[in-house]
Amino acid sequence: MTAYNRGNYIAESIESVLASSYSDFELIIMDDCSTDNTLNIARSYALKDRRIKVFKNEKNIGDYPNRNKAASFASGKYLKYVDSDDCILPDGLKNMIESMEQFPGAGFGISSSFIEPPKKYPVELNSREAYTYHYFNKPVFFASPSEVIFTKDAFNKMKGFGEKRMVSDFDMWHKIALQYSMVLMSPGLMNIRKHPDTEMADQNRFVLQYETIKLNYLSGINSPLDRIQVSTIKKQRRNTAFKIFLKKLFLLQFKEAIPRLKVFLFYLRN
Amino acid sequence: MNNPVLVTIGIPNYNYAHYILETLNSVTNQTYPNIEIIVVDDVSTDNSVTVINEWINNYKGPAKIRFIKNHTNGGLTKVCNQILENANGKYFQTLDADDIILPDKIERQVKLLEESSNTSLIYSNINVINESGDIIDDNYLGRIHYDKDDMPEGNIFEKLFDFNFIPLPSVLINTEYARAVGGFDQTLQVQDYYLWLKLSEKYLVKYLTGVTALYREHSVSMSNSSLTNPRSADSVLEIKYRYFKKANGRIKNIIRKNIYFSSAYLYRSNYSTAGKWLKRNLLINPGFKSAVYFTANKLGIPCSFLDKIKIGMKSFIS
Repeated sequence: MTAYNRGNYIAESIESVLASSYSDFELIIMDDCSTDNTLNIARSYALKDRRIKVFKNEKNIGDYPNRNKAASFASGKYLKYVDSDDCILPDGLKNMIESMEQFPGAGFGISSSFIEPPKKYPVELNSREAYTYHYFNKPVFFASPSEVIFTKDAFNKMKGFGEKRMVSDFDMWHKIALQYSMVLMSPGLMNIRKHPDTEMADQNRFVLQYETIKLNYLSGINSPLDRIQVSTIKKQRRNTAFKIFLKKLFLLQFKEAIPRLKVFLFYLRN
Repeated sequence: MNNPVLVTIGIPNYNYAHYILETLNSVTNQTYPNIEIIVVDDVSTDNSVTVINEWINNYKGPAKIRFIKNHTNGGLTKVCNQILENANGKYFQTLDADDIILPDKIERQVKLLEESSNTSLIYSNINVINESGDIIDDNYLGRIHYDKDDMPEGNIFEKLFDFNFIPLPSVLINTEYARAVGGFDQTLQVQDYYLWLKLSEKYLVKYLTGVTALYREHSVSMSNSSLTNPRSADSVLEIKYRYFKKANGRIKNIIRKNIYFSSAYLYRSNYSTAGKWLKRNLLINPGFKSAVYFTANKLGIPCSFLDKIKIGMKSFIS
């Protein structure tokens, strides 16, 4: 559980973890030099439950570097991030562990927030199936680290997250799915909080970064999708971007229109 | 050691007949030669009194034993004050009837206290044990992000004011100084923290490196702990607020920050005293957010609703 100035929410998040039916866990709380009372709240819980360990960085190192640092202290077989403003359902951890244990070769599992028609979970997807699922079915690669569980081995093999803000999780799922199969777990095991202090990213700034990542993996040597699928995806992105661009223009929402235009031009160039 | 000073170990007991013998034996196993034990039974409903009486009858050692049987249940804080009132030792500690002190604790701590002047309290590290006595945590101070080899000592009031890092079973206190600052406060939930603050305000504190006591953990049911944290947050806030008027600038700022964040936390947790703290917060931290929170709470609007409004406004602006 990485945290930066989450004093408002971290107590609830910690309690959701402590309420897990699966009790064989260690909760590592990494405070990235908060200026509010996040650290002391974490400490007061650690006093009462010896599964909790609290660490604080000497200086703020940023979200993904902090996640990697937290992972370096982890000693379990599985690694699961629960963000300090999210909650895990009481049976969430048990469900995730059981899902992963069913597929020993898998490297990670996603419990997405997309509501699917009743389906048999968990399901194992190889690289090709995982990419196909994201690009042609439900975009599960937009899951946040809070909705994912790793095997420690797979996480270490990936050498953790990249350092880029915002997009490093999206990049990670693409990368890890190339080498390991993915488990599609029951959706909705996490309660992702929407709150006013989220790094409600100016998504517009990162739009091109997302598209660049897509292109790297889709068109790269190891791409699990064939040329026809890739060009279908590119065409789809290009056309959707243009349509939305026009729509936003029409609604006079210029600020939202511009990133769409950028995406459209991106797929013209590439 | 010539003429070792008397040390009082007070054991408050309530229904721990199955643990208290182990506790008593850990006291009589001390290498220190001059100990007085005061056991206070707070109207236990199990066979504690019988068990304790039998142990006392069979005890042949040098320690002086006193057994106080209360007629009405006074609660832990009252019992701690009873112990303080009755203590004849120059130093004393209260020891829970299920915890254990290691054999050289008193000897090592008395030695350090006698060498120091103006020192009211000495503390150490602890290990946590389970119901069977197995060590389940050997990194207590480390887990709460402290360095067990480099703990605060000397003038620790400010550091202690930030967070209570003193493990209760590891403590040995100067009796006279504890009485001088008024003993344990019976109006508070977290009574030991307030005593440590009062002591560290006027006197020095020493740290003895190493583990001197074992704290027995009991499985906390979830239904308890979710209320516990707002309750202890409220207690700690109460303690800190008492210092607000006469505190120096740095402490005042710590209190301001604590009240600012904790009042929001109590509001969010729907805790009963949230209103009181939001009002105090408005007076101490005047500003837009404080005013909004105070007013909303007064009008009965839940905190989650405010969040929704804020999210709505943010997306409207962008």
